[in-house]
Amino acid sequence: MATSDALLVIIRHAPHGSNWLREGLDAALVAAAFGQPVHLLFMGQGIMALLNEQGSGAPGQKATLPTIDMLEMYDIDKLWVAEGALHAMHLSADSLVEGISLIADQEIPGLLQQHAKILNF
Amino acid sequence: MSEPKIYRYLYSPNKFPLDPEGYLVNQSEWDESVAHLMAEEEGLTLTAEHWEVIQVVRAFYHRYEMAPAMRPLVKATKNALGEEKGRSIYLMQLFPGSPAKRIARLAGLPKPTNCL
Amino acid sequence: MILHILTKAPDSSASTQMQQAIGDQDAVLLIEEAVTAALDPSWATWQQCKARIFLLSEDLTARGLASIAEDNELPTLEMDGFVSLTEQYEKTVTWY
Repeated sequence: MATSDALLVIIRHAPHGSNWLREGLDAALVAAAFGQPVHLLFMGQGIMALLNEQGSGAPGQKATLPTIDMLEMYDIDKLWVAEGALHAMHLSADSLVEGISLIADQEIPGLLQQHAKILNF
Repeated sequence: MSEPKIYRYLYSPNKFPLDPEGYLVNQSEWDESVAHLMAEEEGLTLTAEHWEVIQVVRAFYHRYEMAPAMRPLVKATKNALGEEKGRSIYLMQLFPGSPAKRIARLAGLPKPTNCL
Repeated sequence: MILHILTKAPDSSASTQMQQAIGDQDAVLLIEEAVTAALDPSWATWQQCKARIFLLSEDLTARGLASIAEDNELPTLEMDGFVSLTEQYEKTVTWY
């Protein structure tokens, strides 16, 4: 596998519970705004950020879905989802936003190796 | 989220409060006349070309709840107004300096968050 | 080659996710809460990484686990060993 000069941002936390998700998405957007190619990998609870039926939560709390939809405007179009974690959560890809790619668990180490830079949130 | 600090007021009979960076504190107060006042303050005269870009940014904000940084601004402009206008040079000519920030301000939106 | 740094307990989701991400050539350093892995020599990651997994000794000592780690013959590192380990690997990924 060729080494990618893209930045890999790993998202592992769900919306609403903490700031980790928002910080991960912000880091991805800032990097992309500066012209850095960015790929995303959603693992574990991070997959919750991609549910296509999510609402906006408490007043004053920013909804996640508009930001996920906005990623393509920042040319962030590679959204990997860990397949094992998806199934462990009893979810199917149909419940997620369009345009994601499933990645088998055994291919995750290779994905990390391929990226020169990784940020983990 | 904390209330934005009022730093000064836009010079007009209505005294629209602005934050330290000149962005409108109460987004609901925005209308075209406010945009004209803000532009005037910057020494910019808003033409139809400016307005169509301001509308692109307002639509972007409406959909994604964030004002765009330069890169997505160019892409959104290209999608809405075509290849000719969806270029950074065109946006720089209309809004010299930092188009993403200036347009967000004139459109009555908060500063683009991922725009350093 | 990646150095994975785990800061959370062996039964945490961070730990599970790290296990999924470890490649054949990668190394693992256990710090903070992760040093409680010293209590469980059957933890899967010990097998998964064999020679390339270490515990930070000052975090073991702080938690009263240093002698247990020694009894289980687990490899420990001092702070300067930690620094040279990060230099040996192209990139570091921290799981917290």
